[in-house]
Amino acid sequence: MGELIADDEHDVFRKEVRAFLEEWWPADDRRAFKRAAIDRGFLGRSVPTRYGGSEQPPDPRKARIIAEEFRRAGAPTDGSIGMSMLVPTLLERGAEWQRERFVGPTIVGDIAWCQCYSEPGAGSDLSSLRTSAVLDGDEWVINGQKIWTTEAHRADYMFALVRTERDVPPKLGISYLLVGMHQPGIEVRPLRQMTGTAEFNEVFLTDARTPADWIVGGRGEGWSVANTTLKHERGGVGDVAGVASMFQSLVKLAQRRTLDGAPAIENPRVRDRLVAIEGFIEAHRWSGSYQFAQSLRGESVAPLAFMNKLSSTNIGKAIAELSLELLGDTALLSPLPDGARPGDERWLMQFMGSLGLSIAGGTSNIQRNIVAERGYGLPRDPYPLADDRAS
Amino acid sequence: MDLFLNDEQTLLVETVDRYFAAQHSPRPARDFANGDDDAMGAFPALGELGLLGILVPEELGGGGRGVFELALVAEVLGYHCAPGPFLEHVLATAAIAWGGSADQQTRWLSALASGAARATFANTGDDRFEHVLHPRGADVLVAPVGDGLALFDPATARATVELVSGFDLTRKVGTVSAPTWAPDPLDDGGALAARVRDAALVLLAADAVGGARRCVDLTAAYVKEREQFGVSIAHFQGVKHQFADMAVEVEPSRYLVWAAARAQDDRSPDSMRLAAIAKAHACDRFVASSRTAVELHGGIGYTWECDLHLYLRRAVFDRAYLGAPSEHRRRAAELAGWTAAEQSA
Repeated sequence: MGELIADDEHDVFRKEVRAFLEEWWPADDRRAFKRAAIDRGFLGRSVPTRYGGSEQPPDPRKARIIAEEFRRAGAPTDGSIGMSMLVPTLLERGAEWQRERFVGPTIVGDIAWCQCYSEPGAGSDLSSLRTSAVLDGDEWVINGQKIWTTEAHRADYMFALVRTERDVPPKLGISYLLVGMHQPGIEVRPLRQMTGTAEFNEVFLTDARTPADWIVGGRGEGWSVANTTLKHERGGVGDVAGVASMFQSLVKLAQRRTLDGAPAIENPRVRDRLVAIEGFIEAHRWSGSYQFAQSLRGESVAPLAFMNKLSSTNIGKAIAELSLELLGDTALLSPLPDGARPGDERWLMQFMGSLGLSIAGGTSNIQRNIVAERGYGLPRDPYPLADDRAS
Repeated sequence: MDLFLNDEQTLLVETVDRYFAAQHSPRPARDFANGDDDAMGAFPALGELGLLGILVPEELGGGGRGVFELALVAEVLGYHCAPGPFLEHVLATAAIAWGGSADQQTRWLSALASGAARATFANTGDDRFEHVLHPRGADVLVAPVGDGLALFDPATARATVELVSGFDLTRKVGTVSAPTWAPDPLDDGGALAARVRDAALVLLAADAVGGARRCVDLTAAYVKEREQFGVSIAHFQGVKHQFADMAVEVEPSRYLVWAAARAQDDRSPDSMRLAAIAKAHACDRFVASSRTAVELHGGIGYTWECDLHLYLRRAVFDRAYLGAPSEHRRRAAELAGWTAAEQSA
């Protein structure tokens, strides 16, 4: 196996993780659970102990084992917005006092965060954002509007990209600010998705205020600060677990439905389409495996790494399309948003959700640009021609 | 266990790749297409590079490696559209290595490993075998008999070989008739035949993935170079996105094939199913990407002189040979044991 760690060590580790989970989860006190998990080195692994983390040596295999076992047990992980996006940013680009103040409470869930990037006029073209912040004494005064803000209604703080510099190219005029949510100048309005639920929000900032030193990085460095975290995410491995699990559910759906008067799972067309989807799932699974092995060795994973989201959302779409065929006239019924009704019409939530996933976090067309440009060196989209630029 | 190539496998791939790159592939394919019925294409070079005996035990002059290494080589050959005997030769070699008696192995394996002898492989027929690859001049044929496989020597059996004009210009296809042949059986169970069949599916899938990746790379290079409307056509989002969709379908499929190849060596319970899925998936991707590549090349892509049709033809061959994708998906569904759920009261 050369430089790769032997499997035995990780088998032992998996048993340790399971034993911990059996002892500590389920628990009413999530904070106590998280503290115990941190003490054992299962959570907060990439965070130094002086900020409240467990400061473990990087070990992607162990990290993967922890993620798998915690997910299997339904236990809380380091998957919150604050942990996955804000904490790595503060560790890499934040001021020391910001790390000391925000990281520890975020890890144990005392502080909840939301990400305020997108605006009604700035989605795929994020760097054209217009929410502005000007210095008034020792405070930033912020005006503007953010959209698609997940968890804003539950957040204590936001990390936001705002425009602070004029007369520079758009990307150089952006700063990364931390702002308290509970103030008169901030209004959160739920945004209802087509599914009927409101999982994200609009956030209106009207003379909202935050201290002048609640800026991460320097003035005008916000774009590069935000991309620091995105760089880490992009180098990550595509996770097949979601689509693989969805596929198993799709097979079960086919096993209990009928088509043309016979069990759907026995229908040759259904079987053919199931295995065709499975081909894409297995390709996604094993390309993820290869990316993981490569990342352990510090080797490049381009162009594969740029393909993960598009592969995954394409599979979700194929699953949704086949599910519609299997539903037959059950598709005439409405799924309740909370899935309380036990009928198969709940698959219509996946039909919609798979569509949302192909738009959120970088639309499929943006992903195609990324694959072509960063994966294969095709030229970047040109700036609009002068004649076409909106006034 | 995660997929990766160790140093030895990486070196193997690089060595073969370097050889064919130096030949300015697919020029050898084009030469082969213009050559005569007895052309051997890359076969002699493959012998010299030690690639024919990968599955043969070291003590008999082979590499003592597995289907995974063979698939890696097959992928590179597919990438370069390498012409001439290979697939059927290594499959027949595998049959003898895995199921031959001591005598059969002694008689054949060293010679097959070096390329001094050449084998071919038939998957259907009784005394008349159709769709045999490179049948002319083969020293030994591995063919199905009952549930198993057997050897016979076409010369001794006074077999008649007739080449047909094949769509794939890089492989010769023909019929072997031998009404009076006396088969020399290999392993008497059906297990060997299934194992060889699954290796064949994986190697075809590997060829398809290699060819599909070449189509992607050729297209990337072309669209960056071809200019229209004052810029390279790679600037246009329609082109960029069509290209990206092709790349996203092809590149991950490579690792499905690697996993299927490794499953053969691990003899894992899902190896049969994975081989079927890989063959179906990779061949669909190769056909689709070869077509998209032609589209993105514009008018020039449609010409005889453009190399793309060599790949497109090979894609169609890979897809049709040893069963269409739908057949293998049907088998995979059966192997999954999917049955209707019992209706609850």
